[in-house]
Amino acid sequence: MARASLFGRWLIDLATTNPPPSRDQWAQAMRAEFEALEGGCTGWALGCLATSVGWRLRANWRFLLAFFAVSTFFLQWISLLFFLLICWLPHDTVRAFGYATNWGALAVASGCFAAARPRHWPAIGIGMALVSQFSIVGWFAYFHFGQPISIRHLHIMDANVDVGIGAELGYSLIGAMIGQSLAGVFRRGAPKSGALA
Amino acid sequence: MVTRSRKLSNQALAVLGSLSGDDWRYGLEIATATGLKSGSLYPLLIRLSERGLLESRWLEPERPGRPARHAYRMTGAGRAALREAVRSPVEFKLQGAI
Repeated sequence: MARASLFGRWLIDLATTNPPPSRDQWAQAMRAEFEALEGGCTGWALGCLATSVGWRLRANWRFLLAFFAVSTFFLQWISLLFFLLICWLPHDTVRAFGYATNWGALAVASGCFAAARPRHWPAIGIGMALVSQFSIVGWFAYFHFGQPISIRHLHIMDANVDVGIGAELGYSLIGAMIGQSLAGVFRRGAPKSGALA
Repeated sequence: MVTRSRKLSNQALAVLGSLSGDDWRYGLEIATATGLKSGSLYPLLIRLSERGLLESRWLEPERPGRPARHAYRMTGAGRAALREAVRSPVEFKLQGAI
């Protein structure tokens, strides 16, 4: 029971922390009813969390749509396009430039999204790397439909999958961190009215 | 408060039905009366409130040390909407709320 209450409390915290401004009062209302419950509160908290997820999805759908479009589609195709543009170069040069483009595009994309939502930069960095890597596997499966795919045959940037994903996570997180720092610098650096007077 | 003439769902009518008295009622009481879970109840309460069919206020806790609770009551527009729905030939179920 104590564990269930603890879990319920964790869920209600998740549901009511930083709601969209227009839903702040409703988040507090859900929390107040949770506090009024004597027992069996996990189900109530779970429902509140579902409500809160709905608010957040509605408030951030453009951001999420852009995030998934970039991480599942744009990053892969821009890398492929760049590979095709430089494929006449020597093989090693193509690989080096191609990988650099892939890393750069990932870091820049993470940085841009983190600049838009600075508080969520770790989630953006991790999410961008993982979603883009899983979508690569998805695209690969799509183009090799019907053929068996083994994880042993998958390589990311000439490395095993775990090493490759680790590196992608690193680039993505660094990009996101730089993005949120730059966003902070630009916000702080914005001139205030009458500052020069 | 914008009141739109969109048809109310059976669940929304059940919530309004549970608020048919003059008393302020808490979310938990409405949930018990209508059988709705919190995941369905709060989106409905928000929608009804935004349509001006119910009003809400914070009430002081009955026991000291407890947080204030949000309570709800039907407005005149809510009563009219409920009356209209009951009169309408469209079949609906109030799940025993009225």
